Amino acid sequence: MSVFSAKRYDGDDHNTSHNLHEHHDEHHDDHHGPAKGILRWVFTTNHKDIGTLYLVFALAMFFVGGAMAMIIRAELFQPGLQLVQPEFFNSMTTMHALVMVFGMMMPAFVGLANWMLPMMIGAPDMALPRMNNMSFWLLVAGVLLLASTLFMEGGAPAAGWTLYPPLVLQTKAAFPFAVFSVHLLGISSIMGSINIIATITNMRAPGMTLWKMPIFAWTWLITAFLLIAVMPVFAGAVTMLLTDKFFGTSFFSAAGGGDPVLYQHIFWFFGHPEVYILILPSFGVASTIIPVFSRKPLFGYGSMVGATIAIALLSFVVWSHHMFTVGMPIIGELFFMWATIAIAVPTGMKVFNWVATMWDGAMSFETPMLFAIAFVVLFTIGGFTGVMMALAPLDFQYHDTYFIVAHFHYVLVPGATFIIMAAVYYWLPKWTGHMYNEKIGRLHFWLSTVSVNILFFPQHFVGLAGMPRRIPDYAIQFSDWNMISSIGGFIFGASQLLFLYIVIDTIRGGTGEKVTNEVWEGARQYGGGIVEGLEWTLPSPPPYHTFTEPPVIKSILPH
Amino acid sequence: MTENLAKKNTRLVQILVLVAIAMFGFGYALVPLYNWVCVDLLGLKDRADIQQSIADKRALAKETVYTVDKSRQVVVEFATVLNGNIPMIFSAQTQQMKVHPGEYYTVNFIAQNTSDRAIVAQAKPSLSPGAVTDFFEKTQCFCFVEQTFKPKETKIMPIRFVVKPDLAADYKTITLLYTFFDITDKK
Amino acid sequence: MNKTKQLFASLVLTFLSLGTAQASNYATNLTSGTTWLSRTVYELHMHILWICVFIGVAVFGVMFYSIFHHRKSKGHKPAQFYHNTKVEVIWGTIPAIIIIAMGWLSTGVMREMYNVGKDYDMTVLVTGHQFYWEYKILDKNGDAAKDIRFDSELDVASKNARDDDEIDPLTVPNYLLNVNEPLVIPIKKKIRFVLTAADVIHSWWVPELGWKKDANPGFTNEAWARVDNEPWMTGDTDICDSIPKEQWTETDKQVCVAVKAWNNLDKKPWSSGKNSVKKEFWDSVKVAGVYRGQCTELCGAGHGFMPVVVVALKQADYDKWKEARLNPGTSPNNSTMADREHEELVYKGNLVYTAKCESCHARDGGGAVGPSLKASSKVTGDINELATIILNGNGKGMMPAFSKALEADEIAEVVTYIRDRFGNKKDDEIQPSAVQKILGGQGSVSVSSGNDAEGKANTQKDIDVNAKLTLDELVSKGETVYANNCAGCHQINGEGMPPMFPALSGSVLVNGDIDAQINLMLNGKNSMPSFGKTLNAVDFAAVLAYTRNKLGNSKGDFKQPSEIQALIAALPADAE
Repeated sequence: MSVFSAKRYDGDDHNTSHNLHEHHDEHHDDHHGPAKGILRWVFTTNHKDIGTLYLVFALAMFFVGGAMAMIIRAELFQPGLQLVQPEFFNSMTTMHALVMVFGMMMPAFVGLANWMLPMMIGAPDMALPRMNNMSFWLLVAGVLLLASTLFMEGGAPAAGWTLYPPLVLQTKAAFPFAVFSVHLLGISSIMGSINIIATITNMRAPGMTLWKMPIFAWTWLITAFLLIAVMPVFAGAVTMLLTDKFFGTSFFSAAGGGDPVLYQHIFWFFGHPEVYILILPSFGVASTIIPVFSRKPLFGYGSMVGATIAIALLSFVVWSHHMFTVGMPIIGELFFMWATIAIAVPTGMKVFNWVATMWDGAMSFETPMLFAIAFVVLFTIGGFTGVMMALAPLDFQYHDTYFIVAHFHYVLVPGATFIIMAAVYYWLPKWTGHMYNEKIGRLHFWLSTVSVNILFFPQHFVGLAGMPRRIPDYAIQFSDWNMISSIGGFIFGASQLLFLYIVIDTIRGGTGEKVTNEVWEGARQYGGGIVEGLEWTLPSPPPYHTFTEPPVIKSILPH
Repeated sequence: MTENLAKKNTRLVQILVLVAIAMFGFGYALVPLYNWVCVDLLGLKDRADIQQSIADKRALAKETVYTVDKSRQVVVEFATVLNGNIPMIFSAQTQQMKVHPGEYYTVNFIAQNTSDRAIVAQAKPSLSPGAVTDFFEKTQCFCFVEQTFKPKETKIMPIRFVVKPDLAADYKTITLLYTFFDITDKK
Repeated sequence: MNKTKQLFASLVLTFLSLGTAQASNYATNLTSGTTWLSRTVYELHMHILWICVFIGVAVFGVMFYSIFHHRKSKGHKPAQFYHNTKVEVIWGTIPAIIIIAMGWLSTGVMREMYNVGKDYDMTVLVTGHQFYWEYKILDKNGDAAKDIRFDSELDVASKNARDDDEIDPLTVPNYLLNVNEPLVIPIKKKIRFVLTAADVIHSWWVPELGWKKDANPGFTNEAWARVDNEPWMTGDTDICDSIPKEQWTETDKQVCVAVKAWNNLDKKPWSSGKNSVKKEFWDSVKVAGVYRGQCTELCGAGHGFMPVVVVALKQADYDKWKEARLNPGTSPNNSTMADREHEELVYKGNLVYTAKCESCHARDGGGAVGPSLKASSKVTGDINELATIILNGNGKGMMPAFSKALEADEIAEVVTYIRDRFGNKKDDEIQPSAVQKILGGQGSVSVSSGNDAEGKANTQKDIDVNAKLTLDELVSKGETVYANNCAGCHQINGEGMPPMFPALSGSVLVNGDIDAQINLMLNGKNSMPSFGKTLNAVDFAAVLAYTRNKLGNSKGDFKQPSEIQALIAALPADAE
């Protein structure tokens, strides 16, 4: 028996956890029902507990990062400096990005993976439960370390989340802590990824072949490989920054024969795949939810997987489109332009597949479906602007303006974040056994969707009209759109309190309605891609330990 | 079954950890790769400049003899920048030279430490337009060498260069920029 | 109330289509700019935008049709298809074709954009600093004296409105998009920009020129622009009036509004520094275009506050500007004695300092040839005494008298400036009128004692300007004069301290036409003070002979004091 394995159980996994005590194991307690009190959460190795921890942490960080966004939007409400000093404003934009990317979106997807992957592929737990626990607490340590820099002399890092030298080397006391925090976050996500790869590779139930896996598992498998490939590169880049600052190396210092632009290359070699690390699992969730509420099998399973792999591979050869204006030779500009626009093909294919999945279905519009549809539409708008700025000569105008800000927020907020919300609405009844309040859920959806557009759509306009990003104050001709954008931001921020309320309310009983195993009509049939959605065969909430006995895999395709 | 699974997991973890470590190394490998790809394959000017300057330093005073092209002149402009408010005065003795491709020229740069402390500084050249880098050769240069300036000290630093005769006739002006960086604190 | 109304209007507009007429606060689209390149980029942008809109409408149209019709609530029965190779190949191929078309168009534009350093008319060196832009317009013929170098930073009005809650930024013209001194370029010339930075990475962007480019420390980037083809490029902005406002295109609007605002601006913030060209200059020309941009690469706390302003002039006007910029004395005198704010004095003092003091006292006031101005008791002591030193020089030392070279207001500006900067942090100022008083005081003192005329006469009387002196006599006399007046900058051996202080040994000027040298010594130029009023004719002739026949020179010629006297006498009387 090794720490690298989760034991399969002989008992009936459809029972509640109480009767599992008989399976004593001298090694550790992950085979028991949950321990009592706080220690349950500290030492847990159970994938559901750890999934919950990740999701709760992500939710908390959503509000922390959101509060920073509110400060940014409040300062930009009208021209002139009103609330904060420029240096603090820069810290806010930097920390907002770091917290949202590393503290909210990535942990949220890891949380979903922890909760759902074992249940989706018929495994009793993640492959490496102790490593799982450790990677979560390293994440917490990393984010806390990052947050602590806010209170240090000289303030938090203010050079943007990209941490470009030489500017980032002007960071005061916070600098080494920010670097160590990136190291911790990196180690945490690499451990999480190794775990996910091991789980998907080794823990699938018999009959669950790779080509029958639910799309969510596929996208996460690919994402995990991306993470292992690029997080170490980022760690290397910040380590070079550290030695440049304190140990006299000259990786990025022109004086010693280095080049600050080299950092940008290394960063974006990480940074661009990182963007797909956030969006590929989103694709997976969308491909899971849309068929269920269309009551139709997912269209083009094979091309969905193929497109995901294509996007992941292409993501390694497009990074310099983030730096068209640094002064690359034209051959570089053209190579990265062509490679980047090529991504539009597999991405477009995914969108077409989703539309084809909906086509001629029998759709119903519960909150998860609403969020998923909004994701498809608004993510695609972000995709269009993405194609525009991938064209190098146009990027010489768009680059580092609010047009870019609008683009990546469309991709990441009504994109990735909306799909995380869709996932939470979709699986929350499964996790808790309670139904959320559909009315408030829809209210949350409509408020979020309308306000997110008021928030980000005008940013296209000011960006095109010439407003640079990362400025605490702006010229008069940008003032009205900025005010509108801020108002949208405040509404969007406030609407998320509804989300918090719904989650807490559902955990505490929700509508009181007892949910079935299947929860959503058709979930069992269409919720697993081309096989039966395994998680919907389990009780709601599922017992502490599930699939200790491998389930039977049933194809749902008509022939 | 369980033992088998444990073994499989252990093996996979070992491989993946190795991959992660290798990718960390790859981050560092990007440094020489960048030079190789950008300089040798794509001809990115400034990297080439660094490489060339370092190479030039090694091969000081080894002047290849070119046929002088008396039929045309190329204007070489000299510009200087002081990085980070370093307390110095720094500029080229002449702002511009009209040179015949193939002929060697010397131009003096003058720098003075205007402060009352010693300064260790290092200069870095950069050429514009980038495409001429391959056709601009320095046989004497004060780049990437630590220069210690005593308080108020003035130094005259010559560079010797040649514009190769095979430079395309399109290029009529070249700008050579030197930036002085203060590296006193790094010492 | 006004805000609420604006807000309401904004919300309404949000739901209107893109093309609706909008107030200037609702800028919504990319500018088509003012260069061939920017127009090409704009057209490409619009093409791609419409292609995207078209695809979006088609895809979302299908989707919403489905959402509307294929719902469970309508009793629609779901089909069960899940695969169709033919369809999937088609919707892989069509986007690929569109993408290739887009890429093809872009590649052409890209090549044009990179077609830079081959043939162009002018080089502008742009250096990014935390937090301002430094421009150096390189002289085409390599004459360093004809380079134009200046710093361009956020204007005072914007700074005040930003920092002071009492001032509404809406009342400030071109808030955050105005500078103390703009970059001036001629139209219809291909201008090559060489960009670099002196600390962190910056990025120089003027949307109307069609590009932005990073300025990396230690590296150069380059890009080009040619302002052309606009009807306004004739400099004749009347055309803006000849077309009714309603018929203005977006470009017309941008250019006409900017140009008219510029030409109507009463007081251009940089219009009074001696070293910058004066208001009268701007009144005498019609600008062809004003283009505003900003730094676009996060460079620290001041990132949002380092705008770029480029003013385009017709070639003839540009030449006038260059002349006026190089020889500030020739532009109309706009010196005003009105009291100024501390801020404004400091601000303009910066310009004066750069032009007149920096060469000796260094950019950061740390001193070079001249003493450090940091923590100097002379600087932080009595303000009137400091002004007096600058007015009169310090006698024996090298500090020249600036009473002739600078106006009273410029003296006031620079005095206030050096007391404010370099860590001196004296929060006081001297007003032009006070400087005038010191000047006047000297005048009245000398008049009352009759010393002025007499003193001048005395120096002339002691020596005999009509005596014929031999070359040797002049040279031996000249050695002392040289040591006392010239050696500080040009060094005792004549090697000078290039580039600030040229060598006299082997100098083209000293070995050239003698009249040119006399002219320079009489009138001064840039850092070189004028000696027409400070040296008597004999000393003047002596040092002239000394420089031309010693210090490694052996020109052999000289002038007699009597000839010099005639030239001194011909100098224009002091302007009152």
